[in-house]
Amino acid sequence: MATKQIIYDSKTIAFDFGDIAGDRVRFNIDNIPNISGSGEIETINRLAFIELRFKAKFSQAIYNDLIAWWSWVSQGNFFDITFDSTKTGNETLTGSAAAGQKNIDVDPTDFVNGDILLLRTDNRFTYEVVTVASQDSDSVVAVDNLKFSYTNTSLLRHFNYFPNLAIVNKKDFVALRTGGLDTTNAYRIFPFKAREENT
Amino acid sequence: MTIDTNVNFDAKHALKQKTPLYKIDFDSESTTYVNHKTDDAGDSAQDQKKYLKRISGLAQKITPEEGKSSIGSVAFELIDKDGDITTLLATDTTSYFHRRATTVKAGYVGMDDDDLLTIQSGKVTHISEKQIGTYRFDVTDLQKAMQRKLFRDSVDNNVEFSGNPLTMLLAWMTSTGNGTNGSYDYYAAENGLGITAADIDITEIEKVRGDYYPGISNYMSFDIREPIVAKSFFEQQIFKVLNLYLVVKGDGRISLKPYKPNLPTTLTTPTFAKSDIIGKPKWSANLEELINEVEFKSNWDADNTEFDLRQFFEEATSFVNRGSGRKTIVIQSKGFHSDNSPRSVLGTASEAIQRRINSIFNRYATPPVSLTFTAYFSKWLAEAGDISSFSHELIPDIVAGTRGLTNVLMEVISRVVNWDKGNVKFKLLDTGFAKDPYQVISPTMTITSGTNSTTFEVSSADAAKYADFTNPVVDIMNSLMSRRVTAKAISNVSGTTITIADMGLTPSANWIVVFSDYDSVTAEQKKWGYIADSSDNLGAANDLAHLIVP
Repeated sequence: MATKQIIYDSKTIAFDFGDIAGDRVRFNIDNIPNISGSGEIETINRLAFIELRFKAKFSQAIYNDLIAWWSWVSQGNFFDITFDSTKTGNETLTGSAAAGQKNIDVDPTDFVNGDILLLRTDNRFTYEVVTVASQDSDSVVAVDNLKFSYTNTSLLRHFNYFPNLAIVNKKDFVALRTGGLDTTNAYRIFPFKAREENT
Repeated sequence: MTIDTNVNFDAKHALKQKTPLYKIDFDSESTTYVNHKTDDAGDSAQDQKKYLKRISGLAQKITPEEGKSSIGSVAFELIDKDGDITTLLATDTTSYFHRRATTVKAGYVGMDDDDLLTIQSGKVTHISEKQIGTYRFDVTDLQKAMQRKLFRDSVDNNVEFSGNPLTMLLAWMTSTGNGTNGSYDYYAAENGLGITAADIDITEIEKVRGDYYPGISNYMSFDIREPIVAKSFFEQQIFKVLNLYLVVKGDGRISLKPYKPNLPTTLTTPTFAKSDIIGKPKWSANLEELINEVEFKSNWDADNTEFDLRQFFEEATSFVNRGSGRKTIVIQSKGFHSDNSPRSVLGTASEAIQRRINSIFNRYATPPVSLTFTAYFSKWLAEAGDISSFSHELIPDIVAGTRGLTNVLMEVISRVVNWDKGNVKFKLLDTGFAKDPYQVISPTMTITSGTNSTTFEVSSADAAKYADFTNPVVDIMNSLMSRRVTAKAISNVSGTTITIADMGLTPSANWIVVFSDYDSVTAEQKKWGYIADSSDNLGAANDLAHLIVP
C-alpha cells in the first residue's frame, strides 16, 4: 500500500500525514532583473531549485521517530520525502530529447502508464510535467509533445518524490501538540521546510 | 574590444535573459569546477563538479598618462564538498597549488565547453578558507611576474641598452640568458625576466611597434647602474614616455595598447546607450583633471644621477582660460637624449617628446568630461582602453548648451564586472577624439623583384599588409617616385607573391606599391588615410577627410 514516507540514513518513517495548507512544491529561481533607464529589462539568472514546504500532523509515536530524524538532518545530512512510496523513480536521461517529440530515452523500469513525472535539465532552469503514455525497452513515451529540449544529463523523476533534501533555513525542531499528553486524538504539527540539492 | 567571441556565445550573450556559467580549470587536473554544467558535460571525459560558489574580480583600470594598468586577478570560492578540495590540494606535494596555472572561463547555460570564453589565465597566488568548508583562490595574471627586478648585476657591472624601445622591452621580458625563449631572448639572464615567449602576444606588440613606434622614431639609450623593479621601470621609462599601457588579454597573454583613437578599419567600437544603462549616469566636468603644464626631464646623466635637460611645456590657451591645473605631469625619461649618437638618431628624442606633449594637451588641456554608470551584463566584453560610443538624452552637453549626447567617442578607463549580480560598472572619459574619424596612412609595399607583367615579389611583412584586402586597387611608383602603373587591382596575395591585373610591364626591384587615387580605390580602401584637398574633402564626392592618428 502506498504510504507517505521520510527516508534517511537507510531508515524509513512511514506515516500518513495530511498537510494543513496543501502540499507545496515551490519552483524557485534566484535572479536579478536589471532595468535600464529606458525601461528595458535584462535578467541575470543565478540558481534554480525546488523547495518543499508543508505542515504535517502526526501521532506522538511518529513524533518520537522524527526526533532521531532531526538529529540526522540538522547536521546537514540529506533525506528523501515521497508522498507515494510506490513511486520513487529518479533517472538521468540516456539520450537527448527534443522539443516537440514524445519519446524520452531513459531506463523505464520505475515508470508505468499514467505516472506523473517531472522532467528537468541538470541545471534545473528548464522543466515540465510529463504524463507517461507507454514505455519501450529503453524509453518512456509521453502523452503530449515535450515543450522544451533536454540533453542527456537531464533528469526525470516522479513528481511527488523529492530526493536529496536538506534543511537549510530552519534551526529548531518544534512540533506543536494539540490537547494534553494523554488525549487520545491529540496530534502534533510540524512545518516541514526543505530544499532539494542540485547535484 | 580584445576578446574574440564565437557565434554560439554571441547568440546567448545577446539575449535579455542570461544565465551565466563559470568554469575553473586547474592545469593538469581532470576535474573542473562550475556553477552550472556545460551542455556537453555528459559527453566529456572531463568531470565537472558544481562546487563553484562565487566569482569576483577582473576589475580593469588604466591611467594612461602614468603608463599604468591594474594587475588583474580573479577570486573564486569552491565548497569543500566531501573534503574534495582539501584532498585535491594535498595531491600537489611540490607546492600545494601555489602558482598552479589556472584558467577561468565564462559563458552561459546552454553552451558547450568549447564555446566558453577565457576571461583569465594566470597562476594561483592566494588560498584561504573564507569560512569552514569554503576555499577562496586568487588567480593573478602575468603582470605579477614583472614585480621581479631587472638588471640584477648592474651594481657591480653597469649595463647599457639602446635602440627601439619596444624591441628592448620584448628582450627584457623574454631573455633567459640561454637564447632558447624565442627570437628576443638575447640578453644576459640578469637583464631579463624570462617570461615564456608564448605568454606574450609578440605579434601584436610588433604590430604596435610597426604602426606607431617604427624604427628609430623613438630611439632610446639607457645607462643602468642599479637593479630596478621591472614593472615600475617599464611604466616610467617606456609606457608613460610613449603613451602606452600594458594589457593582459583574455587568453592570459601580455600585450601593449597605445593610447590612440579607434580606427574605422579596426575593431568594433563598444556602444553605450540609455537602453543598456541601469539608472542615470553620473556626469562630471572633471575639472580636477585639467593638465596644461608638463615637465619633461631627459638627458639622464648616470654619473651624477641627474637629468641634464628639464623642459617645461605649457598649453597657453588653456592656461589663459583656466589657469594652472591641479597637477603638473612630470615625465622623466632616462632613455631619451637630445644629443643621441649615432648621428642618425640625433633629434629623434626632441621630436618624440613634442609628440608626447601634444598627446597630453590634446587630451587634458580641456578637462575631459567623465561619466560613471552601471550597465547591463551584456556590456562586460568592453574593456578598459576601448574607445566607446556613448549616447544618452539626459546627459548635458555643455559645449552645445543642451542636454543629450549622441555617439560621442569616450574612452573606457575603468571596468568592474560584478559576476555575481550580473552588471558592470564603467568610468568613461571624453577623450577629445569625437571630432572626426581618424585613420592611419594607407600601407605600401616595396617590390623585391618583378616576375612578369602580372606578378611580382615583396617581403613577407609587406605582403601581410595587403593580405586581408579584397582586390585593392593600386598604383606603382618607380624608385624615383614616378608613377608607372595606374589603378590596377591586386587579385591575389600568396606568401610573398602578388598577382595583379596586367600592368603592361614588368616592375623592377625597389618600386613602390601604393593605394591608387581616392576615387579609383575600393570602398574598403577609402577607410584609410588620404591627403585631402584644400577644403578638407576627399575625392570627387567630397567625402569627409580623415585626421591622421597622432
